[in-house]
This record gives sequence, structure tokens and C-alpha cells, in this order.
Amino acid sequence: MTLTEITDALSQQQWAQDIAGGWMFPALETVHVFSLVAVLGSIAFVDWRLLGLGRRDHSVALLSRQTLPWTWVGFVLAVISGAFMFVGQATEYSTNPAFRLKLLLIVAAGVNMLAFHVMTWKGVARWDRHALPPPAARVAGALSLLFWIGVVAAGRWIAFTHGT
Amino acid sequence: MSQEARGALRAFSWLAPTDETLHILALTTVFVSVTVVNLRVLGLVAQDRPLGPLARKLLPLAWGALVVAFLTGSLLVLNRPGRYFRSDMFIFKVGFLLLGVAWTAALQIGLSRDIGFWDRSAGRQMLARSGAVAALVFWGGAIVCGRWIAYA
Repeated sequence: MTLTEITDALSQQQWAQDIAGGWMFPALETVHVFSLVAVLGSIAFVDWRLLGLGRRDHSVALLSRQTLPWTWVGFVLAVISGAFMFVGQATEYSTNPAFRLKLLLIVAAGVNMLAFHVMTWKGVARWDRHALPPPAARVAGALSLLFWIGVVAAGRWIAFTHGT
Repeated sequence: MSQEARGALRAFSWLAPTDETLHILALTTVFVSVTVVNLRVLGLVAQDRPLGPLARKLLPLAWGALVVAFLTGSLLVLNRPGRYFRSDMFIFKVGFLLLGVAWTAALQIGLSRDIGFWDRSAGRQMLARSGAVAALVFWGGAIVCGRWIAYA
């Protein structure tokens, strides 16, 4: 079974068509907007601090604890609302270059975050209140901002790009 | 449409998604900054920091981003004026925005006179909290109506 056969079968389900055609789609889009605002907004606070901008006297660990719940709740809501938006036109989305780029950028943002937590975050106690965090942390913050802005842009481009 | 006009539109095909992307980044900045300030008024976030300094930092950011959101949004309206001016959702969105702006300006004017303005009496605290709840609804309502313009 190819990917296209799976996505075609998915889109032909009655419930998938109901979602794509009626009031549920704009409702899902609205949830998606609020969740992306939560993800991007909460992450930007931390990235900004990692870059040595914003509140330079603030504890990075505390800021991270304060923002992380918003990031995760937003991300889970974005994935759920996004998945339901996907099903009605699954083949169109899955072959759309902008959609593929968006998924790739989400993976890149995830890998960047994971690498940061596994490597740089271990020594956070040493630079927690430093005005300028170490280069590795600054790089992670800059990449994170770039990837997430890229996710938003690619998401917007989906509507202007065509799949097969 | 003439061949040339179509060609010109294709050449600027990146303009609409770029404008929409900037609009989303700007609205995110506006919404997140005013929401953090309003949630702080309610005592729900950033309890380690007083309202005054937090608002002084975040509200100028919100105003700056609001200008960007206004300019990028104006471009969307100019591109398809009929769609917006005939839409009830667009009218509601503008109404919510004006209410949100009014409250945010009132909050900031109070703070600029006196950094502890909204804590000086129980009445002011009550007014600030009610305003914060209303403002969350206003700004959130602007986003909901904005998204729904394309469907109503």
C-alpha cells in the first residue's frame, strides 16, 4: 500500500469529508491559530533570553519552567487540530511541498530542542543568570526562532502551493 | 485578465503568503504580550515580577507589533476590499480590536502616571481585574473573527 492509497482512503471517509466541508474546518483553524500563538510566543521568550536579549538578569531555568507548560499544551492542541484539518484532503496535503517542508521544519525544531536539552542544558546551573548564555545556547536559541518562524511561513504557503 | 497582468501577478506570487506570515508573527507578538500583562493583572503568571515593570517592557512591544499587524492587515484588505467590507466578521473583528486597544491604553496610562496605580485601592484592583478578563475576551475575539472572515 502506497502513501497515496492510504491518504486517499482516509480522505474518502464520511467523517473526514464532514470535517473538511462544514463549520468544523474554520473552528479547527481557529484552535490551530491560538495553539501556534502559544507555542511560538512561549518559545520566543526563552529563545530571546538565550540570545542574551530581553531580561538579562532573569534565571533561564525559571523562565523555562514558566513557559514550558504553555509550549506543550499549545503544541499538543496544534497537532490535534492540524491532524483533523489534514484528513479531509490528506493526499493534497501530503504531496504539497510546503506541507512537507513544514513537517521537516517541525522535526528540525524538535531535534534542535532535544540536542540543546541533552548537551547544553546539563550545565545550565553555571550560566543560569549570566546576561549572555554560552555560544551553544545562543545558537540553539537562534535556530529555534528560525525553525519556528519557518514553520509558520511554510504553513501559510500551503494554501498557495499545490500537491499532486 | 491580460497575459501581462497574469505574468505580473505570478511574479509577485510570494507577496500574499509573505504578508500573511508577517501578519501572523505580528498578531502573535501583540496577543502574547497583552495576554501576559493581563494574566499578570489577574495574578496568574510571572508572580515573581511586579505588574509595573512587566507592563513597561511588554506593552511597547505590543504597540509596535500592532502597527505591523495593521499595515500587513491593510494590505490584505486592499487586495480584496469587497470580501472584508461586506463581512460582518470583519466589522466584529475591528470592534473587538478597538475595545482591546482602549483597555490596553487605559491600563498603560494608569501605569505611566504611577507604577503602582492599579494597586492603590481595592476599587482600582477590581477595575483592573475586570478589565483584564474583558481584554482577554476582546483580543481573543479579534483572532476568532479574523479567522472566520474567510467563511462568513
